[in-house]
Amino acid sequence: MRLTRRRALLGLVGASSAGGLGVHELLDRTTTDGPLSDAGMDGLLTVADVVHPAAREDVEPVISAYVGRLNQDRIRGVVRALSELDSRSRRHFGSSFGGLSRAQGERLLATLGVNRVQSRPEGTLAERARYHLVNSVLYALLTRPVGTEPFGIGNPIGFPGGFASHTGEP
Amino acid sequence: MRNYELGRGLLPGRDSLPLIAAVGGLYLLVTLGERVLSGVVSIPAFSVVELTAALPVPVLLAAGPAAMWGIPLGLVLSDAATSSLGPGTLVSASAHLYLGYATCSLLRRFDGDAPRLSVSVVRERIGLGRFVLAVALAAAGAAAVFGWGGELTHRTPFFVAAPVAFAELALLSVPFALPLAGLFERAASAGTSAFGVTAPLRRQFDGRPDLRRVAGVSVGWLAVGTVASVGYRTFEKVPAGAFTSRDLEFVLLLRQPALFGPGAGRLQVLLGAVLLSVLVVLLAEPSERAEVPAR
Repeated sequence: MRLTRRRALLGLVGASSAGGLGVHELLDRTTTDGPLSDAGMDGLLTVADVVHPAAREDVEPVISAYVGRLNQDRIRGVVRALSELDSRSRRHFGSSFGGLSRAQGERLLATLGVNRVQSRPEGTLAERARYHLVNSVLYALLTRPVGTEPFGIGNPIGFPGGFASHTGEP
Repeated sequence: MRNYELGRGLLPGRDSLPLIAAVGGLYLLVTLGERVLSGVVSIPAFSVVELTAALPVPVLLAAGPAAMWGIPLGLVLSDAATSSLGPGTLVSASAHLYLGYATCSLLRRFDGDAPRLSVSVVRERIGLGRFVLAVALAAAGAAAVFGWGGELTHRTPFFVAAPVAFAELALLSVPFALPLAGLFERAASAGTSAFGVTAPLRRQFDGRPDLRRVAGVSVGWLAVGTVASVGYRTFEKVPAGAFTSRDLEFVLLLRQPALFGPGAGRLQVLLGAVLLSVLVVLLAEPSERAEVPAR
C-alpha cells in the first residue's frame, strides 16, 4: 500500500492523539493517598524557606499545625504536588525537594514557572504547587504572629490575638 | 500522487547500531557530567531544557539520519540514570528528534545538490544566515513540542515553557552546533572506520520541506499557543459579571465544560497532536527525485 500524504497525516494524527490523550488522562487520574510524611513536611519547609524570611525552626510548628487541620482532599493535593516536585528535584539536583537549599528550591520553583502562574487546585504542576504549597504556606504563616512579626505586625488579621494585645502592656 | 516514504533511511539498520549506541552514550555522558560538575562549579542553568538539548543538531549534522534513534535511547538512559524516567522523557525525545530532524531537513532543502550534509557544506554552500534560520525555525517547532508536552504531562503551562524553551534551544544550538558537529564528524568517521562500517554515514535526509509552510505552522503554533494559553486561563478566572455589565453575555457561551476546565487540557492535547503531525508530514515532503518513477 502506498503511503500518501493524507494517509501519513491521518496515521500520525491518530497515533499522537490517542497516545497524548492516554498519557494526559492517566496522569490526571494519578492520585497519591496517605498522610503527609516527614519528607513531605521537609518539602513544605523548603517552600517556606523560599517564600518567607522567618527561621526554619520558627515556622515548623505553625505549618505542622496548619497541615493538621487540612481535609483529606487538600492533603492529597499537597502530597501529589510534593511527590512531583521530588521527581523534578532528583533530576536536577540529585536529592528530594525537602533536602534542597533555599537557592536550589527557588531555582526549581522558578524553573517550573511557579512565580508566573495563577494558583489552581487542578492544573499543571506549577499551578498546583502555587495553590497547594506556596499559597497554603503563606496563608499559614501570614495569619500567625510568627510569620508577620518580621514585617512589624504582631497581631495579624485572622489571628485570634485581640484579647492579649488589648490587655497586655503596650 | 506523491508517495511518502517516511520510514526510508530512518529506520535503524543493523549496521547503524554502533552509531546509535554511541549517541546514547554521549547523552548519558553529558547528563552525568552536568550532574557531577554542578556540584563543583556553577553551570549556567537552563529552565526548560537540559544541556543535552545542544546535541541533536550537531549529532544529526555529523552522522546523518542513521544516528537519529540514538537520541531517544540517550534520553531514556539519561532519565533512567537520574531516576526521572517517565512521560516527560517521551516529550523531551520528541522535541529533541524534531529539533535535529527539522534543522537537517531544512538545511538539505537549501542545498539539495550537495552529496551529503556536512559542516563544510553548511559553511561554504549554505551560509551561516540560512543555518541560523533553519535552527530558529526548528527551535520554534521543538519549543512548541516542549510547551505541548508540559500541558500533556500536567507540568507547566504552554505560555511558561514554550517561549523560554525557544530561547534556550536557539542559544544552545546556534553557537555550538557547528563546532560540535565538526568534532563529531571526525569522531564518527574514525569510529566507523575502526568498526569497518561506513554505510550508515552515507544515508541522507531525503525530505524537501516547503520553508514557508514549516515556518508558518511552527511559528504560528508557538505564538498563538502562548497567547491562547494565557488567554484561556484569564478568561476562566474573569467573573461573569465583567461580561454581563458590558453586554457581552454571548462570550460566556464559550464557557463550556468541553472547552474550559478539564476539557481545555484534552482540547490542547488534540490540537498539539494535529499540529505536530502536520509539521512531521511537511518535513518529510518528498524531494523531486522521489517523484521520478523508478525504472
